[in-house]
Amino acid sequence: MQSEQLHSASGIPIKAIYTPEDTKDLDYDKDLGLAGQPPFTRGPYPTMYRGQAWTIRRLSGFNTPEDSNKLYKEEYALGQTGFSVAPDISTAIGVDADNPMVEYEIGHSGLPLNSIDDVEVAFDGLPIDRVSTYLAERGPITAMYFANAEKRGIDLKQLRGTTAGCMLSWACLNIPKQPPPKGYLRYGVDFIEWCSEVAPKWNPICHDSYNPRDLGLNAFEELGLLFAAAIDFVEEEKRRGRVPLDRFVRRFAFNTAAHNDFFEEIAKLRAARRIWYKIVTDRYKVQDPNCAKFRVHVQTSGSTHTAQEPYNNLVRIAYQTLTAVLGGAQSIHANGYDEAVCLPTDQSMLLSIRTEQIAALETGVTNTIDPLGGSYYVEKLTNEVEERTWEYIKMIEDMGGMAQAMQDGWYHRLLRDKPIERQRKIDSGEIPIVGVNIFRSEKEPYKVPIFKPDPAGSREIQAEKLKKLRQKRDKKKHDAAVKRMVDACNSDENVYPSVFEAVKAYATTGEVFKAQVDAYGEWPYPVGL
Amino acid sequence: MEKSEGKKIRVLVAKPGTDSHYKGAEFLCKILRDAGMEVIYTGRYQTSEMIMNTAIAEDVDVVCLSSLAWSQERYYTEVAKMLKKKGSDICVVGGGIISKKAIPKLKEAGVSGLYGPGTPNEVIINHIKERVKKERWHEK
Amino acid sequence: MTTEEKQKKTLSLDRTRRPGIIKTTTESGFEPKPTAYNQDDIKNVNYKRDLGNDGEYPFTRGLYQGMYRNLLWVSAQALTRETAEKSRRDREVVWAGGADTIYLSSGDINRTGLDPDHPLAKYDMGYCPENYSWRRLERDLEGIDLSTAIITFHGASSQQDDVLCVAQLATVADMWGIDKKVIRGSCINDPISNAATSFSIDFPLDIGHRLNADLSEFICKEMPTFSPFAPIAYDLWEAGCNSVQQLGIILSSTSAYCQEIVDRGVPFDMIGRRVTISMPSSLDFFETVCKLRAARRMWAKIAREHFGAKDDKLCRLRIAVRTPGQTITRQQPLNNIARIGFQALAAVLGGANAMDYARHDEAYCIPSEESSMITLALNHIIAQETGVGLTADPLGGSYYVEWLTNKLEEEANKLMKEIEDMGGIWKVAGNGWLRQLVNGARDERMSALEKGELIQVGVNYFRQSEDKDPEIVEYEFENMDKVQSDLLTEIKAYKQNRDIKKTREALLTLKKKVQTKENLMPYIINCFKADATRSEVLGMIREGFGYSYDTVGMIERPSFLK
Repeated sequence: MQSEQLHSASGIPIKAIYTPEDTKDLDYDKDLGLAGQPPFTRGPYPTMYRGQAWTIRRLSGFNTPEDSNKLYKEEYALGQTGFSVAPDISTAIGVDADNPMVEYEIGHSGLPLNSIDDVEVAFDGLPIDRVSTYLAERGPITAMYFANAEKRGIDLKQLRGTTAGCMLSWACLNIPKQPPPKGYLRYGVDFIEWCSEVAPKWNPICHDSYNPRDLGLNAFEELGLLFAAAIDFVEEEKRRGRVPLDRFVRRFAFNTAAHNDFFEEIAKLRAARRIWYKIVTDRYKVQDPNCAKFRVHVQTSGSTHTAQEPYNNLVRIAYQTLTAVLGGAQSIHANGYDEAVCLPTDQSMLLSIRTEQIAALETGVTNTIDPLGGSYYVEKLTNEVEERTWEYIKMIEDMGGMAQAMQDGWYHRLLRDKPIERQRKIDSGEIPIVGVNIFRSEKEPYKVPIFKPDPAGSREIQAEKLKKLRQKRDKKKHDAAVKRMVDACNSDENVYPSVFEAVKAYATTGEVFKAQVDAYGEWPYPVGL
Repeated sequence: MEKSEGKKIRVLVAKPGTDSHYKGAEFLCKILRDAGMEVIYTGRYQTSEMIMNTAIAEDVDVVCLSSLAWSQERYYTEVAKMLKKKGSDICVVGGGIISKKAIPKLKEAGVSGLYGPGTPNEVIINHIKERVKKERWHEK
Repeated sequence: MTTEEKQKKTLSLDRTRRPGIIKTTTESGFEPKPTAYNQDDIKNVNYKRDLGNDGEYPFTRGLYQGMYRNLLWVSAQALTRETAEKSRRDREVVWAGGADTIYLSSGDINRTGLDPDHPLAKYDMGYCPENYSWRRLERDLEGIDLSTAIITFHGASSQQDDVLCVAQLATVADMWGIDKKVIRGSCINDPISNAATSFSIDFPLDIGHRLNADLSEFICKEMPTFSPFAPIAYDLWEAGCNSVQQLGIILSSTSAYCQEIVDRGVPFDMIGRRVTISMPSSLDFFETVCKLRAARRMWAKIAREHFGAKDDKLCRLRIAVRTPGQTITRQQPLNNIARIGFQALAAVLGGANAMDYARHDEAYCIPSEESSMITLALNHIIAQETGVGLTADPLGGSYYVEWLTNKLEEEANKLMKEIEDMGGIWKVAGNGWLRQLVNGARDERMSALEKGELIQVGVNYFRQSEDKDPEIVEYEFENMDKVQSDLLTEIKAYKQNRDIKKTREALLTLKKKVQTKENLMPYIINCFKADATRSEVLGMIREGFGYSYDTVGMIERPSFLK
């Protein structure tokens, strides 16, 4: 390290020392406030972790609903305190398991959820009345989840959890058979409207910058995208005027990645809270400050985990987790150290959970609230991140908003170029990665256990279930409900009441998706632009 | 055959070799005394012979060896073998940083317990009680 | 409980089972207020007076301007093996991985003051380089350039051992024709810690007191780039002390050791430049950060106000931090990597000048190559990936951090005053008061662990069957029977082949000099040059003070000395 100009990972120039000079313009009440008070820079809740620790919540799922149910029970027994469900590729595409198109996608990267029955099996015996669930999907599966909860006698008005629904991650993964951005936005806003009425404690959207961040964006680009996407949703509802904005935004949730630059990540979360508060109250004139809380789930960045010397990732994950804690996250997913190698083994799953527990219970960082508040460096960095984020939001707004920018191909060009830039920096050593481009060993000093499940049998299992489902359901009721749903998709009414009825009448995931996508036509991704 | 009611277990806590750590041994003395046993502590710097002689002279029921050093395996097996050679049925229980590789040899020599850091107190106490009752007092 | 039953039990637990904080006090027992700290809590902090910039008195924000931007902390790995060849090979691996210092660790028998042929050394010898003679140290240092290496004696906590180590190093330098004035490094030389933690019975404090001063004076005059002492609060932690106690005791000791040298006429200017202490990271993240900051500020004031140091550079306290071995659990050992990570990061954020890390498999065996590679990588990750070194004292100004720094200083000052009022640190170390304080702290901690008030994840919280723990690849020792018998043969031959008259003369001279006020170091060095062994040297010093020849009272003074 030299005494020349050095930068944070996002390129913010960092001085050798920060002093009271750097925070002399800080107005405590206006810029920081108490935790749980506007502008929420110090945290959305007054006592933060002294009252209750963050949720340990790890995205998981594989093979079949049965296998995943076992996994969720195991994770809960190990100390996880929230559920997080990853649908498999076939479910993300929105096609049923017996469709030849997804022959090789069943049970990969998540579990197949083809109908309300699958949801019932996946959550069998789990205390979803007391523990919240994150569903990494945009609405249809949640409708099944709600229906299953009702069936179990749980009051939907008390049900807690989150639906992902975010444009950013879906568009980033180039999943086939999806509606275009404006269709996605339409269904997303429909879901928020409907959910805010039937399940007011459920988070109907979780804007998610994890995937784009992992592809090479920096901290303020990440926030910029996140808020530009959120703004699109609010603008759409403002245009519709169906639901008062305070009710609409009240339960917005967010999902970010925790990267390597320790202080930048902490500053990022603090800045995010302040920014969201300003967007909701200044821009949209919502009065109730409780509707302006940036509540965030943080996942440690998979792109920073190396396949070389995988145990080193335990260190990286520990630090990234700590940034989320010191930054005031509500829910954290510490990755498995073997993320770059395979699906989590039992051991890496255990270690993820234990790492979060060690941070919560041994290090004492939870004894106080926003412990870094007031630090000259951290406050200054928070301001720097905030300033650059506003600029980035404005840039996207000038393009017509996030959905329009996606339609025009801007987002996909960004996601094409960023990884290239990042790789160049790694190759040149500008981004040092221990064990990869610096301090690399000649041979791997140790081996780690590998877990490669074989979901080969999942397809048959699911196909059989679907066959039985179609036989057992009341055909008349089902057909009527599906027709109702199709009509709703083709009009501008809120589709979700009819989706709800349809899934209760045993419509499959494929049928719901088809209705929604057909109304707009499948969007060909603007790749190659 | 004497019954155990009212009879106290006599324990010799000993530290063989030059291992300097003493806290674990002193803590062990405390919890065993709290559990109603009579405890004699040799202190540090004992050779195997010294431990054996003290154990026999004091007529203890069990010797608890505590060592965090690498010589642990040699000392523990030596103490156990020496006692056996003298025809004594005094039990030998070991604790400290136990190498997994050493466990089979230790067990073969008759050293039991082998409690590492983080072992709950009751586990140690119950093990000692069981072994003494079975092998020293010959109770069912 | 089977997994099935455990799952049933967990599933039936209340939602509020989410680990709400069980303990809200810091490690030293402070209860932070239930709301966030703000500027009112630190309104008495004056930036120039209490903090200063990096490299400025009182050095709260770091010793050097630019801190890690200019120069990273020194990293070291305490690695010694049972043969010199293995030690050297491992050392080379570690250096290639980026560590800078040579640690020369003494084993159990050296710490106890025994030679390999002592009856009690039978099974303990051979695991570390047993430098019973200066020639063995010479073998260890073969190929090392003494003018550039940093030699650290991290003796297994025994001050007498440090004295003999440095004397042997000086002997090697003399024999190689190297000017001692270029040798860099440090030793611990902390008899007060020894007295407080375990060794008062074996290593009488009066001997420690004298040798401490002799060694310090010798180093200041003859080896001025070597640190005369590095009092070791690490041992205090391992013995049970919290941050307040560590600060209070260690700064009292450091001050006392400086005073010894000053009383011998060495100007403080010669010491002030290289005052070093060794601290442990705490379990408590912020206490670690704050106690380092508090230590620097407290020492700067002592140097200026008590020792009259005018030059700011003489008010610096260098701090070497070690992550504690006691927090390493045997259960679920890979959890320890995160623990070590947190502890190490806290030390860096506190401005540590040197770092040494525990290894995750320490509760099983001595460090394996695997665990050493992991902690080496950890060191690099902090330095190169996290960006925490981009700016000095990044937490400076934080309301909580400044409050906690002040609080630790305040409480530690109270303890220091209490010690002064009772007659000073040498006195309370000698009369058992200090030992009692430490024992009390230890009992408190062990009781808190047992009760579950102090949580150890995987041990008293979410424990599981150890069958599920990963296989730890234990270190493979050489055939120790052979190593030990070779060593016995060697020392026997050594004793036979030396010029016994010379040896006897040197040793008896040393014993005589104990009664005088002369510095014993030159006489100790003469003994080594005359091929005396360590325990022979130590035996003479002990007898000079009126103690038995042998530390453990098992053997008599050898016949050639009668």
